[in-house]
Amino acid sequence: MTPESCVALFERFAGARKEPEGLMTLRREAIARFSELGFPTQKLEDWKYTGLKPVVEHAFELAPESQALPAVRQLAERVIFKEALKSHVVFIDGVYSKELSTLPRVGPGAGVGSLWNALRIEPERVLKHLGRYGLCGADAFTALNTAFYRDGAFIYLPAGTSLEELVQIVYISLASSPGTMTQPRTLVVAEDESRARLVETYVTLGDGPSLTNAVTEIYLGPGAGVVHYRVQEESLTGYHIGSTHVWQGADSTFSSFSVATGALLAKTSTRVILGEEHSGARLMGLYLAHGGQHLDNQTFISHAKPHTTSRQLYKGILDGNSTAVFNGKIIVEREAQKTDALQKNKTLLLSDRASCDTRPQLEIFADDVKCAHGAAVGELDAQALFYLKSRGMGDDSARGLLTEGFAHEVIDDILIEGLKARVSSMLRQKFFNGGRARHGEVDG
Amino acid sequence: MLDIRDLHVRVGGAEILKGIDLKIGAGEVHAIMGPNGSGKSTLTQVLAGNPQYEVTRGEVLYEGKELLKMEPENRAREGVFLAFQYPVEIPGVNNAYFLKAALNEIRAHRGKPPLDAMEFLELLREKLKLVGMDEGFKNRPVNQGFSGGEKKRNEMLQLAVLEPKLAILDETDSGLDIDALKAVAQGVNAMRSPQRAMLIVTHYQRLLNYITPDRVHVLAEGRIALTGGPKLAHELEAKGYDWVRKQALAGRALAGKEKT
Repeated sequence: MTPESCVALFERFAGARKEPEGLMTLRREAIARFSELGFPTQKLEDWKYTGLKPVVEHAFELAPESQALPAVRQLAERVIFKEALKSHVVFIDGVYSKELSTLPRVGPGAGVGSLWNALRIEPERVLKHLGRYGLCGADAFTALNTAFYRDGAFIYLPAGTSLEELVQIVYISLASSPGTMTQPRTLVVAEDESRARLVETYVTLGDGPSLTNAVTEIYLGPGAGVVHYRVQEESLTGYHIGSTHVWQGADSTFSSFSVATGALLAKTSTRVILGEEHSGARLMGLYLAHGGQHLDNQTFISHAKPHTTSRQLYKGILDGNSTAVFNGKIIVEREAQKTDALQKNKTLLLSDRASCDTRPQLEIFADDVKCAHGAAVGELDAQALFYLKSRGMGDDSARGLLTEGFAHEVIDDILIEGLKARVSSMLRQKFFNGGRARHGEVDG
Repeated sequence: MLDIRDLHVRVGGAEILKGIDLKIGAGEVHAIMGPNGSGKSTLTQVLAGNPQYEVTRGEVLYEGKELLKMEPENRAREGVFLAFQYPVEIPGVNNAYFLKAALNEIRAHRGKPPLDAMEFLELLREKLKLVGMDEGFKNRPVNQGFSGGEKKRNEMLQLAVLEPKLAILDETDSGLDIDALKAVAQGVNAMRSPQRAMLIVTHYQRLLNYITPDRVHVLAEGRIALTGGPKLAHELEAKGYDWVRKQALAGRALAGKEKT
């Protein structure tokens, strides 16, 4: 895949679409921008530890529109949390599946559903926000997504509305041969004093090579509160690029929890602009890798105005010869006095062949601020391991318990029981259900 | 039950234990005293199987089996328990969950069915009462944020739940106020039985005011310098450890005679 082949692909894609004029203009701008930027190389700060050679080498095709086959339905049923049984939006290869979705009942003026439907019915309302937040213009993959997305979830909350139920957005990639790419787009507009809790789940059905390039934009008006969970559990043969762009108004609170456990190579970035006074963001993350996986986690927080607060805790567990990256940047603008920012990153290595690059960056241009960061990469504590064994626990169960204990600090932050249970079970399955022996073979 | 023969141990290149001989029979309570740095803690860690310690000579028979060849977890499953001088804090791991997992692994080793959640909770409540601990401790992370006294009580709780055959207490009395000390002693005394042996390591004699040992050994310079009855502890309190060192230098024969 080259920028040129993407442009050619775009011409075929665009030629077949009937779209509101504003949208096609956006797309054309985006593909031009992408063609200018090209695929990111490791010379770029943000991509220093993640090489895209394996991704670029593939000639990914746009996925054809697919039906909700029984296997797809089963997969959806497996990943939908009980808390979202009456409020989930499902997409197959980036296309809305009415059949598999159950939309919640919402108040007047509010909307939860397909972005494409909203674009056809009320393009002005959507285009007022789409592509406007964060650093969409500077990021090649976000530009690529803007050029190609077919659909995704659109959540609109008018001032003062609260979504009672958790809304789960499920993006299923079929990963059929010869290798397909899907580019789902999520837009969340939370107007003044509105409230919502959302989960984005990314899963793959097949085992072929696939590329998911997902973009989520979240706007929080004054006093709004959004809790956003993101669970990436795609198949280990695929590639995943996920970018979340958040813009926060005054007194708004944004809380994010990112779980990355799938894909052979993945990069998940969360970019938050604390755009008005007294806005606050809390970013939690958990990355679990084994075998030859590479999981890159990036956070970017811009404290643009005074009295803004951010809290970050990212933890990772790596086994086999997997690698991971934590790249966390905090910028405190000159104007942003009384900023309060804290960033922590801890990675646990279960194997001596696994490694993690951690790169906390603070750029502070204001003088009256409270900022701190810390990063640690280490193995299981030998003394703790001996302590557990001295009580009769075997090596595997002692390691398992300590590993779970390490993750608990972040898992305990999940307020959705279904997701909490799912993350705990992913963790055990990945590292302690014969998993170690299994990828031991893969490693040779 | 326990037979230590000519045990030599190195830690980080330095020889700490230089030939320990010690026999403990079922039902007996032995105390090991000695100045700081004499090797008391090293002895307990080696018996529990801490891989950081290197045994260079000697052997340890536990119920006729070679203890030093067993993995730490198998020692525990066979009934060896060490109450740590410095219990390890384990963030994120629930105290009760950990103890249940440990107990059920020990039970599995002994061919017993696992206790279910209700059965375990009942057992835990009973043992919490025995060692004078609040029920709230069961749901806290293992030792994290516990005071010194609470950590020691938590060790006693584990001892009471796991019911070992050989209990080794490494300075369980250090850093305790008098109430906590009494609670620990009460726990130990309640655990005394003809089937169980105990080895109590302590720097001060005060714990032995509440627990009367069958034998008292004094460790100095990596060897057992002196062995005697319960009165020896009081004598040490009065005369200090320098006295033992002099005794040890004057005649190792004394210790040799007392040991047999």
